[in-house]
Amino acid sequence: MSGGGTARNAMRDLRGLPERVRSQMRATRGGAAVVRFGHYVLLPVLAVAAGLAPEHLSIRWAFLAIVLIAYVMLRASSSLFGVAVLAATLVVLPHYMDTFERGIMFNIALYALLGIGLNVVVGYAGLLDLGYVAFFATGAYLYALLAAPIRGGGFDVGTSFWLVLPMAMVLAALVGVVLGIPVLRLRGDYLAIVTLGFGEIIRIMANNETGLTNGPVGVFQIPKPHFFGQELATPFELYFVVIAGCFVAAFATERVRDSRVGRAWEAIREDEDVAASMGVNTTFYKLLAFAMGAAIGGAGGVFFSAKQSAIDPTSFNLDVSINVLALVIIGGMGNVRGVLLGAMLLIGLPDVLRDFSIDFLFVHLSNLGADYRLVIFGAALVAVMVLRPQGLLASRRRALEFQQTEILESELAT
Amino acid sequence: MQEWIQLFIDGLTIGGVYAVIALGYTLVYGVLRMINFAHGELFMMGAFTGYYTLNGFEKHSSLNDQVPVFTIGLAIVLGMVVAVVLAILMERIAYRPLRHAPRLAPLISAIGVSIFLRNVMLRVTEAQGKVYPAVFPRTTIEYGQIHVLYVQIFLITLSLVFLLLLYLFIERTKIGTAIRAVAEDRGTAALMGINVDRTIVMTFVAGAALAGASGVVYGMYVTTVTSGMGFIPGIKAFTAAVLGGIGSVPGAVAGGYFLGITESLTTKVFGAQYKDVVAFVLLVGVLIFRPWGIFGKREDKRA
Repeated sequence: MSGGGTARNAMRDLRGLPERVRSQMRATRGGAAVVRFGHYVLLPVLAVAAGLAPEHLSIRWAFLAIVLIAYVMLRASSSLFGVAVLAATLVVLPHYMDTFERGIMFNIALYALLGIGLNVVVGYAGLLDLGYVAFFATGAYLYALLAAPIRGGGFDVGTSFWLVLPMAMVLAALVGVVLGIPVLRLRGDYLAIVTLGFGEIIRIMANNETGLTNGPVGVFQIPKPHFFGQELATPFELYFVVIAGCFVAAFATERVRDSRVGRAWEAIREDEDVAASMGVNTTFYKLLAFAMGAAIGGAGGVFFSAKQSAIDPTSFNLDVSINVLALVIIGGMGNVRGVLLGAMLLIGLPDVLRDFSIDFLFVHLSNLGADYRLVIFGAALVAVMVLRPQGLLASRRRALEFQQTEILESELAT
Repeated sequence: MQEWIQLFIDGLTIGGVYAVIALGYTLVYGVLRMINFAHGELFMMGAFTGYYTLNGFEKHSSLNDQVPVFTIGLAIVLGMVVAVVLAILMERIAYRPLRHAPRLAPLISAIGVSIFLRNVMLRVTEAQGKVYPAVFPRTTIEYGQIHVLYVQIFLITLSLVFLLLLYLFIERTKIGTAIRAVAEDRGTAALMGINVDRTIVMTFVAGAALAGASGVVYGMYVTTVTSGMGFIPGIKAFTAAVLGGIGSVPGAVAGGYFLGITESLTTKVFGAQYKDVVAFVLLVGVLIFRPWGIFGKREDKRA
């Protein structure tokens, strides 16, 4: 009936095994250690080498190497060491990249941050939110409007980036709660459609409320943030801020997941009615999930508008929500490692393959990464759901949930 | 006053389209308890099939001018066929393997299908909107301040015909009875000897045929078709299905007309740019206060 029971059975089986078999199993574990050594030591060395010698090895291969390392390493374990190596790779490698590639890295980091936020809502609490762009837009517009000069469409309040950042998070969280209250009673499909509607409403309002948001023209001349007197003028410098944000957000959300709050979310995700009858305050915890996810999305928006220096409503369409959702789901719902991998694959890879083309018989597909990215996303969403519904890197618990439902259903069917 | 009548007629036109698409949502929801997110894309694919058919005639023969009835009829039939084939494929590939998966899985899969189809067409059309050949005269019937296009009358009539046909299909045919039985209780229907898989496919087929056909006629009405055109009508039709109580066939029809007319009339109050917002607000309002729909009957445990 439960995962715990299966695990206990496995333990009992192991105890009852003859010594010969047990020693063999221990030996296999030793083998795993060797493999892990390869993951942790050899692959990062390879990647750094690839980064150090960009003129010899195309940066594309370096990027593919990072993705590979990230996958293997994250798959093998979530130990602090693995995360540290990955962090080092993410921080060191961009130093050896050109402006275009650094731009890609910024996007990866930004979407990873958004993914970490959405993961709280979708992965932890199991609430399918298709309107995540609303919070992203809230943060982006707040910074743009407060910081941009009047002739750029802003209000020239001249608020510092570092002050706007927490303000945006609070405001986005409030928006999250306000949008969350009406949908508290909705589940699954309905929730998805209504949140999608909210995302669109925010975009339509940004487009039409010209007095506040400068309408379709958008806000421009958004100033860059300063860090101890130094201007963070390029995406490269901002990249490190976003990466730092990612790690803070990842740490915070994983800590919350492992707390009482996280267990409440888990209970709601698995069965809301049972959770409620066990005394979990579902209203409070659902709103908390919305607020926390929204706050991170708002922070992402602030970073985005700081990097863009000009924003308009077209940047906040449904595609943003879909991209973030796709990377959370394909990477693996319910854990930050999956989100990170998803961001690399879904946001980084298409840009890396930007001018990659295929000529096959009569088919000529040029500009594969840029033009066919969403075609591939669509197909990938279906493929992941059918073949590996828990995502590439699933949390163990999430994977179990997906399997169990199938077992239960097939038991009922026969 | 005449301005209101004009808006009412426009609302009736678009309401017919919503009603016809909404039936697809409602039918599939009835049998599978799942929202076919890609349904609006079937509508879009129908519209494009119609465009390519009529455009082909326009370029290579004068049939559009001589026997417009033939070319329009053929465009509609081909639009249906393409939508039906796609629906069968998507059911087979993306939905059937997930029938026993958690509820989130088929929904995400459907979103995937929707993104896929939309962007395939975006590439095929190279992000350019396509303009339908003028098979209907663009002149209007006028009565004072009221202007009605010929194609509007055609669209209103055709929507009613489709609704009638679907009603007969559901109520009078053997397959229709099977669909109703599966919607009621899949397990019991299977025990009664109904081939559930086949019935589910037939449900998709019926919904897709309607969506494809109305896509063609809608294309003739709005004249420009784009790869993203299925999205908003899809959401609106879903709203219509919810308004009428999802799972209910008469509800979807009533909801479609209700939404179309409300939306059209409110443009005069809030302005045309808030048209989509009106629909979403209606959707949220209904889901919160009457989740069983304005016309539906109350059921426990919905939404």
